[in-house]
Amino acid sequence: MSINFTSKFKITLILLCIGFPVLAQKTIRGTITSAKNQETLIGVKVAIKGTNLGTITNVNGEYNINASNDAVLQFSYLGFVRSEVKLSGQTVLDIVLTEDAMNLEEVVVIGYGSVKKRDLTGSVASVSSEQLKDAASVSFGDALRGKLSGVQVTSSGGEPGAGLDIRIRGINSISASSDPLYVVDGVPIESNQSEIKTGGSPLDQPSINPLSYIDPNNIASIEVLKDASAAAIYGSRGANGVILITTKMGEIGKTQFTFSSSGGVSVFNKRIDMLSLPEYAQYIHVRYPENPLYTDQVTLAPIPYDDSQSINWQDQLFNEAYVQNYNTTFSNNTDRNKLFMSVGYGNTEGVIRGSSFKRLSFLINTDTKISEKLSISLRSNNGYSNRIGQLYGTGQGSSSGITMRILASRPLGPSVVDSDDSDFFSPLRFATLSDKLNRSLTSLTNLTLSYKLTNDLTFKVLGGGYITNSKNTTFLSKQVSNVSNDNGLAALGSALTFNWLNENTLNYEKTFGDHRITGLGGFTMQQNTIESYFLQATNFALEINGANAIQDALSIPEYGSDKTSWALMSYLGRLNYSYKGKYQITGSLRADGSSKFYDDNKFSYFPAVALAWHAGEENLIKKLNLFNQLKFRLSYGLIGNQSIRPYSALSKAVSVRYFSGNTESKGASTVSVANRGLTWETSETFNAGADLSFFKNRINLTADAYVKNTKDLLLDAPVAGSSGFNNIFQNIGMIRNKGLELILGTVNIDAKDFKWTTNINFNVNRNEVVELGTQSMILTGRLVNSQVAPNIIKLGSSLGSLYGYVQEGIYQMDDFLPNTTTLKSGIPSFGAPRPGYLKFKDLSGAAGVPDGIVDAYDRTIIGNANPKHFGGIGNAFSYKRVSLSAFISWQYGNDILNWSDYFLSGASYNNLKSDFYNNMYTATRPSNTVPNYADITGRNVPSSYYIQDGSFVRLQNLTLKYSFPRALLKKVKVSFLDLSLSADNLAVFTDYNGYDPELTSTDPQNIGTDFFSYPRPKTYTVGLNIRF
Amino acid sequence: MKNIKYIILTLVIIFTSCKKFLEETPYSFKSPSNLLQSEEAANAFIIGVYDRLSAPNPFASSFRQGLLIVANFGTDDFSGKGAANQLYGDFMNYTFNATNNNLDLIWNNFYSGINQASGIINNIPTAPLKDATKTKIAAEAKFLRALFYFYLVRMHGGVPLVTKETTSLEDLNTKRASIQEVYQLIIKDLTEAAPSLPEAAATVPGRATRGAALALLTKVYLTMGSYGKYKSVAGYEWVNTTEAFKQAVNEGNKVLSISDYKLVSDYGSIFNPETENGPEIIYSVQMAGDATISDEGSFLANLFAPASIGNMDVSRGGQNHARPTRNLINKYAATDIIKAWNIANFGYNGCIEVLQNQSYAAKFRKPCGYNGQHFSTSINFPLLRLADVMLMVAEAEVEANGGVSAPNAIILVNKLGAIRHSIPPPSPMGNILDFIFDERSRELAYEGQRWFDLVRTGRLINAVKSTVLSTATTSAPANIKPIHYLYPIPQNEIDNNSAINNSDQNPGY
Repeated sequence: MSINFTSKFKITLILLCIGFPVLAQKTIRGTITSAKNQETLIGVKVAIKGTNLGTITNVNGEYNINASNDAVLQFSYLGFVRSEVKLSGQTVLDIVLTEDAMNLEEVVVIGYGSVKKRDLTGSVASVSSEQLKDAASVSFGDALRGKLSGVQVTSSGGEPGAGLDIRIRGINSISASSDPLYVVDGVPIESNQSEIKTGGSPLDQPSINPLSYIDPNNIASIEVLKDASAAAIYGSRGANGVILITTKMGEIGKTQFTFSSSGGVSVFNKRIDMLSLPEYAQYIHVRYPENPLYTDQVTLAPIPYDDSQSINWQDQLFNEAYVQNYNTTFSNNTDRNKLFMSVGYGNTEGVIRGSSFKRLSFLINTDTKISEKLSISLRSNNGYSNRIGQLYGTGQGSSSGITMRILASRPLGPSVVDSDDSDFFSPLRFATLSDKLNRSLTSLTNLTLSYKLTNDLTFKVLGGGYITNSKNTTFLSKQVSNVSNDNGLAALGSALTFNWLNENTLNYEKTFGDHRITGLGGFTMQQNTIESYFLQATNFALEINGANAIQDALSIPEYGSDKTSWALMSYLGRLNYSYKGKYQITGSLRADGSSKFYDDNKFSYFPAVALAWHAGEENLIKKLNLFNQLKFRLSYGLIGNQSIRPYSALSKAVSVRYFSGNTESKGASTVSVANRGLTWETSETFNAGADLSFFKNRINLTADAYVKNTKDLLLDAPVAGSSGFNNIFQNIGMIRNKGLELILGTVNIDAKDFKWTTNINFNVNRNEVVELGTQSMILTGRLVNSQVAPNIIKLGSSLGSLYGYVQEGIYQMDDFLPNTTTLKSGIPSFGAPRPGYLKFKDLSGAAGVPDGIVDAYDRTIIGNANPKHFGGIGNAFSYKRVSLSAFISWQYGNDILNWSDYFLSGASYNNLKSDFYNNMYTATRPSNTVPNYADITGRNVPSSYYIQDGSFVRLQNLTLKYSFPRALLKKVKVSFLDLSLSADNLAVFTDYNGYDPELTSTDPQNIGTDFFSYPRPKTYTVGLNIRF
Repeated sequence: MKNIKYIILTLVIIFTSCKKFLEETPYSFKSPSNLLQSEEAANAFIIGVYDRLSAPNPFASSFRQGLLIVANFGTDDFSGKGAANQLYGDFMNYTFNATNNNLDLIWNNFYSGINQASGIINNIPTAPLKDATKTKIAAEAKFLRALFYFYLVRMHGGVPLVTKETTSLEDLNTKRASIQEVYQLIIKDLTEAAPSLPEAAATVPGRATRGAALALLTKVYLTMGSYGKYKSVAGYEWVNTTEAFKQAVNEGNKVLSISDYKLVSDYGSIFNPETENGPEIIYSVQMAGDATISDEGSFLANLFAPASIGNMDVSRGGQNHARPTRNLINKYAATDIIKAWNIANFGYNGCIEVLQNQSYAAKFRKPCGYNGQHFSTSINFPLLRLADVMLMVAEAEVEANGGVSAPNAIILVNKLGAIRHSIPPPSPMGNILDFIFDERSRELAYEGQRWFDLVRTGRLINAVKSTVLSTATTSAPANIKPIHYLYPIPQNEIDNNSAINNSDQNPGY
């Protein structure tokens, strides 16, 4: 202590000496601005080199400092390249700081804390608010598409507000969820989408994005924790990766108003060429000659139609849709109190008539320093969303969705007298006479109390959670065909989720010479309860008020309520040791206790360890003067997954009903058997990575390779039916994901007025089912109108394999004995074939060898829904005040089973694709690739005939921005103003013949099939961003 | 640092409450172990077993749809062109194999019922219930378990004989039992159940009665005897055929002596949703399908009944997936009054019958003014009827007497004929067995009896090969083979049951 005291005293003395001017001193002043937007920068450190003297810039970005004539001034600011200027007599020195592309001092949020980007030992990808802003996206997930390495964003439909599936480093689970854990401002949110569904068939609600209440404008940053070192601190919920969302706080020292707005239009121009009425009438005349609408029943001649009587439903239903978004923020920040408030409103219309998504959001964040030791912060993020959707609009798996109706409906225009009552089937009528609404209010609030016990030790208590109340309303008029017998149908459902969280953590941070230790220890509890009810009313005596007055319905045949709850209690700890800033080791451990498991399995432990070596700091490498950063990372750990429904380990009986005569009795039926041995799914993860920067940070490369073995899969595995059960949740099997991720950022040109940067991320993931218990394969998934499952989980194959028959041409006349329907010997039969039917390969038989019959034994893997690689390329150009950015994403090598094609190639009276009609087999034009429509009932099985390449390159976003000059703005007291023009989803290059290759079913058990998904439009927007 | 102790204290308090915090509370489902703890719960538990007969989901697993197809299609009486799918076409055309989804669903559904029934039978003796309740509910469970096994053994032969409810992963796999073992359990269950079950008049429709147990026992004995005699399926060598037929007569006569059961003169009233639980019904699967209930009804009217004419409103008509064959039509005399109910040459235009030159299976028709679902109706599916028992007793007596003298059989046949036909049966009847057989066709058309009758008597192949269709075509005559006397064990069962492997499959599959 005494030594310390003396040395401090000496320093003070020295400082005092310097303080008394010996050399000529004068006052230097100036303003510091950012090169990017010419804004003044507040809080920039200005220091005299070689001394401890310095100051910071004030609210207006101005500084004042006394320095000798030949002093060197250093300007440093977080996120900007440090600048040094040697004085040469001037008294005014304005500085323009440029942003640091490879900002190692930037702070990155990690689980239960944050670190400097430089000090990361795990694999973490991150996106800033700037990067999120460009796209006209309703949800942050949409904006993430293609932007993060190792993160695949997919969705089953392009309807506004539709659900998204985010997969981090592949699919890790079969029956448990593969969704990542979302942590919003420290509160873990389980996004189990089934939990907010209400009601049952026939009105299944398509998935809704559970985080859609969050306005992307309010997000400061999104971090994705990918490897064990980063994610294991979330223990049993980290196996699918963790997405940390941090909302905004204002900048220090300013009172600011901002207003941003954008407005635009969405259009969908792609058309699938369907038969016009004259062609359609000709086709039906041949196929169903008994129908008087197409065949004169006396002369048997076709009824002539001309093109003017035809209708193209695509032109009728796809319309221009308007998009508008407004967001206002206010922030007032002092050293002791910080306040940030935001109010936002957005309305995104869908391109199919009658669909839209509206959101109203309100956010308030405060940080208050009560004393030097005690501070309190509040995060409150609230959103109300109102989604109006087309019934079954997004569904991959319902037989009467609007997109299907648009394509499959007969092209009979209004002028045609229609004894088939085509009006009844009119998609326009369906779109206008059915309603589907989801309204949802979410409030996520937490309060953190933080107390400095000592200089090194801080104790934090967080209390908070979220409440979501969502309500689904569906109504179908009695005039809409598929429920005409219900005579009007309404369904109401509501779910209330209450989730509370308590976190108590101790943070330790200390530097001793070359040693630096940071530590974390904590205890947390979280409980989630969902209560829901639904009811369905039919037989409306009066349907004027629709679902808002079900008292006008004569019956309420379906109703029910449900309540489920789970709880999690955890202990967590993390220790990070760093020596000389060169060598780092991080160890973490989380013990999770879950209500979903029993006995000895109640608690499980998830350890992780990571090493990092800053090789660039070694003298040998430093001398090379080549690297700005050279860092190697290695991590290993266990992460868990427990996202199965509560009560899965228990034996259950559910309510059923049975009618004796007309008297209803309530019964109970056992549906599951107890498996008290059920335990956690564990992912063992290895990660090796390197971060490299060259040429003055002009080239930055991050590379990661990983292997993730997920064991004890929580599998809802089929069991012998004779046991009385079909499936039991068991820990069976293992999946391996291994892959490679590359991120390359380059500054290609950095001239005075012109700058060009490029960011590329490239991802490869391979997925394999390594163990499957006693099973060799499990068939999963379903296709509308087919009883044959399209997906297979098979040992040694990818999870996401498509399964079916292999097409081998078309049955030709020559395949049959003359004038019979008997096949020549040696030609394999499938059902009762005729010329023009799909012919499949006879691969095997009951005895394991081809047997001349094509049946279940001849099915094989016909495709893989996983891409071989995917990624994104972003280019940003700026010239003076104008900037242009272009973002391209791609996916390569995934297969899609286009089941929509089945319904557009001869299913009853459905319209046909022109492509099919013009190329199909006929007696006079015997195609060997395209079957005849008559084959339709026989080929309702998955086969390679429906498999297509889903590769695509998408010009996802193009944004042109102009920032007004500061000098000009100052006159009108505006500190910042920019205007932007943006185009989303401008072009897609693909061989896929459906609307969009990116919109396929995403459930791991039913993956890679496209069934009339709601398409994604092009969106053009104009945006304005203003700050006072 | 003194604050640390408060923190530690807080944490200690939290830890001590942790055990409770991590317990699961069931809010919206029942734990099966609690279901025999009260009279109310025990009644719900047995209702859960009955529900398997008309299981709403999936409907293809129960008498709502799947069993209607299995038991009716693919005979010489009733067939159709059928869509080439696993639900219809496979059974009409004999193209099903072990991977047929429908067979799998039925299998799983029946075993779910068996599992739950066994849970009741094994645990009710120690349950805190009134003795009368215990006896009655146990007897109902035995009746239902016997019914499920009787369908399984006729469809698949020797099946896994599970008599202990599944309570853990240890109980999952059971090997195939012999046919004899399955029949022993069926007979034991029915014999034990019958005395404890109420009389028909004392019970609500759809619940098991003494008469139902005895009628089912009659059918069991007759079936055993027939298989033993005609040897259409291997594994019945142990049957003492004469003894079995005699037992059938005995048990059948007990049913006939129950005064609750009477033949009704209006044949159509047996199948009319308004009057369907009349005195001729011994046991029928109860269906509910009015306008308010969509998932508890039967698909039979939709599958079989005459079509609607002219518009898309199919509220009264059906989709006639199958039609009566010439074989069936020709079995009726032109003036036969039950023919008029079973075979229609009209379709519906609302309440008006429009003549068509087609024959439809009209037995399960929706009455005029029917207010309900078009695909799912409240028309019950009869499993045991008085007329069926009369014909069974007659048949068993003829068989027991070696096909020679059967005085009571003649009386029974005449008694039924007198109430059903405008023309009395010929006297003498010629080959009385054949006549009884034809009479079963006429009387019980589309009631899920014909396929089982053809199979047990070894007549299936010849009958199907002789099918003459009225209109549609079928490839059944070309496809039928001796292997079809049994359905395959579902492939899913073989794949998922470690006690059964591919070599245990029925021959030919």
